[in-house]
Amino acid sequence: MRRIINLILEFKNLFFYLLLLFFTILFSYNNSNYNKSKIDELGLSIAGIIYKPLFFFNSYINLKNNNSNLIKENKRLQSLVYNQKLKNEYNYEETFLKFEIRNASVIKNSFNKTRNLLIINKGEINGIKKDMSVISSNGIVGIINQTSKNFSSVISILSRDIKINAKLKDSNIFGTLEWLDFDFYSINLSDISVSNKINIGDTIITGGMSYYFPENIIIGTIKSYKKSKSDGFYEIKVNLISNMSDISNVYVLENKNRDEIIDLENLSN
Amino acid sequence: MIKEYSIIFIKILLLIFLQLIVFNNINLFEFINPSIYILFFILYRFDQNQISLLMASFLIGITIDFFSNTAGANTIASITISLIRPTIIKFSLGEVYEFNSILNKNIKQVNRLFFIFLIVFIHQLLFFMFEYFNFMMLISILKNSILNSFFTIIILFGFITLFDSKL
Repeated sequence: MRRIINLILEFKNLFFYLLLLFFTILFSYNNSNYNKSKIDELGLSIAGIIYKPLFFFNSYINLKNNNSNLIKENKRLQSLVYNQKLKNEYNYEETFLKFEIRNASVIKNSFNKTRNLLIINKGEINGIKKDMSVISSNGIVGIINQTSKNFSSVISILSRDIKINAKLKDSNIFGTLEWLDFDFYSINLSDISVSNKINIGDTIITGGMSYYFPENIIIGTIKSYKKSKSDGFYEIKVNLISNMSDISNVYVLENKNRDEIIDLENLSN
Repeated sequence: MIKEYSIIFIKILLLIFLQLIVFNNINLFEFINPSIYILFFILYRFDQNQISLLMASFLIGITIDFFSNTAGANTIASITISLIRPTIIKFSLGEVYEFNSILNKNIKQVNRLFFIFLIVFIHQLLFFMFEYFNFMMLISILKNSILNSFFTIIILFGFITLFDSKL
């Protein structure tokens, strides 16, 4: 004990310096967005290196589970393809070729905070960029927030900072998804006017009104709803189909028209 | 003790005031703003407490950062220069136990200039490194730190020789 105290006394300047340095970096992090993104990037690459061995171990343990999930998804996709042939093939290509798909594995997943993040094992060298959207076989997962050379972090849909355009299946009633309850099985849907008729059990899918997610990706089903007293909108709770605590393989979607849409938006503003 | 610290505090306030009101608005050739608050790290007595120097440098740095929107660059440069100051003193002045201030008459003018140069240049280099926060901009960092150091050294050396005869 005495030795430790002597050590601290001997290097007291250095320790005090490190303390002040910590405060300064905190100050810098909160005051400049550029510094924040740089510091985040450093943190992301360190976290990626730490969690990678853990990920290999876990992926081996979950191999059986993953296989069964993949088989299930394959089945679903095959049925989609066989059914699609009956429809107009030209239409099919038009809607799906806008998005380029890359696969990735989740190496760190959080779902019990107010702003949840996932880390995936693909980064800038794999062509991942900020603001791309991430889905899993069971539905939407989130949006790429930060990229480093080999890893990327994803803002989960279970985050207060994210809002997603959604609609009711087989209709054109659009609303906004937000996560307000901090319950990782459900999410809130707002901005749907009370003049529309909705039922418990109706399916909610992505609306395709933003450049993040393509249309018609399943999100969940309506769990409960009530009419708001103050304004003419429903307050709807949606059961998420994808279990956010159990995600191992995801797909990153790149919207090829994104730059064009943003340019157009900037021009019109 | 209290008198000493209050004098230090008044010096700090004066330097911060001068820096923010006058020297941050010089914009010579559009990018040169001498950092005259480095005078504090030069004139601080060699035999005084190192911890209070660190604390004072943190105070100066964070105040100037706060009012000139530089997100921590001044603070990091200041506390780092305070930490490595004993090494710089040994390196530039040699055996220093007989001196307790840079204003001591027995210090040669060359050594004094070298000491000021080291403190100012290292400070400015650190400052611009954290200001740009990107090593791709190395050319700009070097250009800015060299030119700013040059003008800061001229002003500080002028200050010191001006008041030297009195002290």
